[in-house]
Amino acid sequence: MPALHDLQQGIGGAVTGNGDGAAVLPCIVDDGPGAAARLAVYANHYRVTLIDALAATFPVTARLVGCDFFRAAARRHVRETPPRQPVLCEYGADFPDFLAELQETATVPFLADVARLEWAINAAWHAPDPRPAASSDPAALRLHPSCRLVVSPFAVDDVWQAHQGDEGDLAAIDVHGGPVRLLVGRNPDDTVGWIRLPEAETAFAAGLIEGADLADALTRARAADPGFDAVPFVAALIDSGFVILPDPDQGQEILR
Amino acid sequence: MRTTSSAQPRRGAGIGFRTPHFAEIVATRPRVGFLEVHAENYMAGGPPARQLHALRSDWPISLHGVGLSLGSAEGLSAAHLERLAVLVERTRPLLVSEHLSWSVVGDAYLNDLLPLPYTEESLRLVSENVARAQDRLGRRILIENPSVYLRFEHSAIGEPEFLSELVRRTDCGLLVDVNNIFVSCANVGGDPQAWLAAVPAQAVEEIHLAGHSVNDADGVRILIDDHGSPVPPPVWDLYEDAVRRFPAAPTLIEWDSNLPPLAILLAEAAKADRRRDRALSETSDARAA
Repeated sequence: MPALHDLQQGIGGAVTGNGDGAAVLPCIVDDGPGAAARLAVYANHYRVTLIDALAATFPVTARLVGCDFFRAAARRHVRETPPRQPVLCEYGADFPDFLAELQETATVPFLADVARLEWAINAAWHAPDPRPAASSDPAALRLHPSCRLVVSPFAVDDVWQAHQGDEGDLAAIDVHGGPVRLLVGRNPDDTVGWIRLPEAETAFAAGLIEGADLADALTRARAADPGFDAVPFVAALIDSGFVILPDPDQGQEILR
Repeated sequence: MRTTSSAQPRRGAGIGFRTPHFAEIVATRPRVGFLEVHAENYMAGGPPARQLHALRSDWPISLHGVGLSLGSAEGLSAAHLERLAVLVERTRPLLVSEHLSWSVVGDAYLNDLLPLPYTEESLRLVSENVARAQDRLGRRILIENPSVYLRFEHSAIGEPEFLSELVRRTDCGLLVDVNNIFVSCANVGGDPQAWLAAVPAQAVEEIHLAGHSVNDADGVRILIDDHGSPVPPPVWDLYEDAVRRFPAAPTLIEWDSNLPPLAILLAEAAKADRRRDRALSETSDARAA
């Protein structure tokens, strides 16, 4: 009789596909369906549900390569990179890099960046709501917690947009019309959107995402473009809804 | 229809809540006893967390965890227990439940409720993990019997006896999944009636009902608990037995794959209420006779 931990390691290997379960099969009652067929019920569930989860997070990526190729690639990924924790909306962060390494995807050079955009969309949608800014100190300008940057030499936002209808039509767009720098975030109506940014604005936004104060973000932006003017960009950010504005009620709460 | 007297107020059957039904539920305010959600779907925050917050003001919420892995030999993930604790604190649910199973080994989360050998080693381990979870959450959790597709040669304890001892050691409650009893007994042997009789009735605080599919493994019939269809007739029959044995436990309809229109789900919940009334009135008739 194996110790429980050894048994679980053996079953874990068989379920993820990184072992054949041979060591644990003798521990499983072999009647009716055989032990291997019984263990396969769990392995099938693992594989199918996680491939489905990736397909739901990366729908445009799947359309670019076709369902069969996508599921075969996802199948390999779920074997090589199992989830590390049970919150499944957080599974798939490594999938774009995995796709980039596949030789077969070399003919679709923008594939991994489209996947990175889809991962950013997923992460932005599930990001926590912000705590209202308690301070009206302008040096503490904060972006919404959903905000993240996607940078690509390809026009991946146009590729994504072209695949929102029934027919994905790449002929109508210039995939090579990049580079694009996208600030992706959740809109006030809970849809996810993005704005295309020039280089200096990207450096500025990256600073804010990393928690830099305004002066530091400005320094970074001016390193990219000495003539960078923050005022119109901050106004555009506020219009986009990606900035957490001080909540006047919150301020009164503190005064009381 | 005859009503039964009970010390506790009657609570109509609840339904599993899934995001596609949110707008209709808020607009039509169905009279269900409670809503149950998978805890892991609400741990990230954002719009789903806001939906749950909106629902909790009008319905009691049951948080049903699928990822705590109470049967992991490595012990509980402190990080995941912490996320569950934050969610429990935020939601203040009526019930919190998890499974008699494991799903984590090494760095891998196996996305399934894997079976345990029912041994003294497992009992000691699950008891420690349940006690730790209850300590952190500051409340009793209910432990659900899993649907199983295999049985271990070295299992030395029956599943209901294992659960009964777990209750004795940790003061946890039980969530009796009637469909899982039916499925497991069909797949690995066992008598559903004896199963119901063997667990301590006072510990049972919730009943689950669901459909299952019939599949083939090695040319032999195997039942899969897929929550993707109506509750089948033999499970309804077993449900009446469960209700007679655990009359105070509220019932939940689980139907979360091939998600049906809300009206179908509500009709299943109403059917559970009728079957419950029928089961309990037959009990009264038998007593009167």
